[in-house]
Amino acid sequence: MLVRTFASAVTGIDAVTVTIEVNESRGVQFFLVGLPDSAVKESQHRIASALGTLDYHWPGKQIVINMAPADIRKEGSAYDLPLAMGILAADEKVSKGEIESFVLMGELSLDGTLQPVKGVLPIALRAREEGFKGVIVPVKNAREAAVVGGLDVYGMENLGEVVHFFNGTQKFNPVK
Amino acid sequence: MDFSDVRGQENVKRSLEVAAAGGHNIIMIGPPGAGKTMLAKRLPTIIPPLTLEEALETTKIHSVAGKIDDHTALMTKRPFRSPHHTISDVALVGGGTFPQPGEISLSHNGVLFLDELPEFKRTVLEVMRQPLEDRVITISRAKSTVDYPASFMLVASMNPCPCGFHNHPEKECMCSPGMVQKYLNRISGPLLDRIDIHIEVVPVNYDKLSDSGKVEHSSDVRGRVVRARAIQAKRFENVKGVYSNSQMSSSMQRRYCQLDESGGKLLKTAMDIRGLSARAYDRILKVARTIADLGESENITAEHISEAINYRNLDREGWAG
Repeated sequence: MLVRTFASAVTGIDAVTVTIEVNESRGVQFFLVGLPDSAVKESQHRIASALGTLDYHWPGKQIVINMAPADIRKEGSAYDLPLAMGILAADEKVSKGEIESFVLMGELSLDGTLQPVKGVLPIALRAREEGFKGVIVPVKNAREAAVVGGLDVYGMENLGEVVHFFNGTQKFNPVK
Repeated sequence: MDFSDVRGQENVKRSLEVAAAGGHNIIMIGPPGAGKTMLAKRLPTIIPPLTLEEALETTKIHSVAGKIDDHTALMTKRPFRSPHHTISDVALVGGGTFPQPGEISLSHNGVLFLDELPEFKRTVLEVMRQPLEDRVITISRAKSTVDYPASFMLVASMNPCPCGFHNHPEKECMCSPGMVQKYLNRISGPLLDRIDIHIEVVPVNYDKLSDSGKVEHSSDVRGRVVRARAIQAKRFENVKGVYSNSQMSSSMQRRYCQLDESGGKLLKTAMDIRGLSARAYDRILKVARTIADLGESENITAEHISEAINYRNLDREGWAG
């Protein structure tokens, strides 16, 4: 089953929206395409470990992830969060409802904590330009993103909070 | 820190006021201990706060460089960057394998202070030539091109010679004439051409230093600078990305920097006698516009032009004695 989450690539001082398409099917392998650099490729291990701390397992399925546009190089560790959420959504552990209305960015620690990333302001500006409802970023980046009006900015501590947010099992307030 | 910490040096303070009001580049030349670095470090006390558009631009750059801490939303103070002279060209201008903004972009809408200018590697200084003119730096890699804004105010300081005492009123300069010229040549002609204000910093005598009389505070100077900037904001309100006279394009210059007859004659004479370049001509006009704004004058008079011309001492031959 195919799901989509949205991320953002910073080039210069602007950002470009990156669509992360996750497809789950029968099998065992993991493919990540769309010119990921080494830091992005390493995210598989960080995500697997973070999922473990939430008592989820890496899905026992074949997972193909495409980061579109596929010909722009994807750099850095900030894609951990949207990739993890894509995998959880494809595995039906997270409700798909609102996930496509948000841009997600954040680096994952092995215990699921969200680490701050660079370029959050251009990312938020771009998200507003493209009509997204809001952005989900690590809590340390929240004030930076909140500069942008007309956008719901949520600063999250860890992957668990993001899952609860989309499943509606916990309420969060956007940063002012 | 306050301007009043520095005793005397009224003409240097005036030139810094002009530079801050219009965002013009300035170089201070003088012997060691005269007060160049001290004044430059107090420049942030007289520059105006960022406007909303400038703040957004500057914060974006600092966001991309990962320099926004978790307490900051939008930056309010102008950046003041002062890299050590061992800096590499990539760190100054930006780039690297994964392109990142350099010091010139981190000082966008702010001040880049290069202390001891001749101590910087020549290649590093030359690499600044294009951004000083275009106010943007284009970093090309095999797979992509990235543009970073770089509209900064350059403040530089230097000694006139290796021993530092050339043209000193009391001390003897120990350098041979060739050494002095060679030292000054470290700052190439094209780079100097791009600096709008050249000011000689002369050492202050004891009486002036110990004088506890009235000295202007930063807040007074800042008031004048802020008023001049307000005039510029109104002038450029319909132009995107232009906030000060130094950022004017040639067409804007033709519109806003009209000279009267005496002013025009004065400039022509100066250009003929000193052999000033077309770029120098443009920059003199912009500085004159700022001086007129500081005097809250709608027109540029011969007086304003005269002050602006006198700020380009180094273009004059025979500087090295």
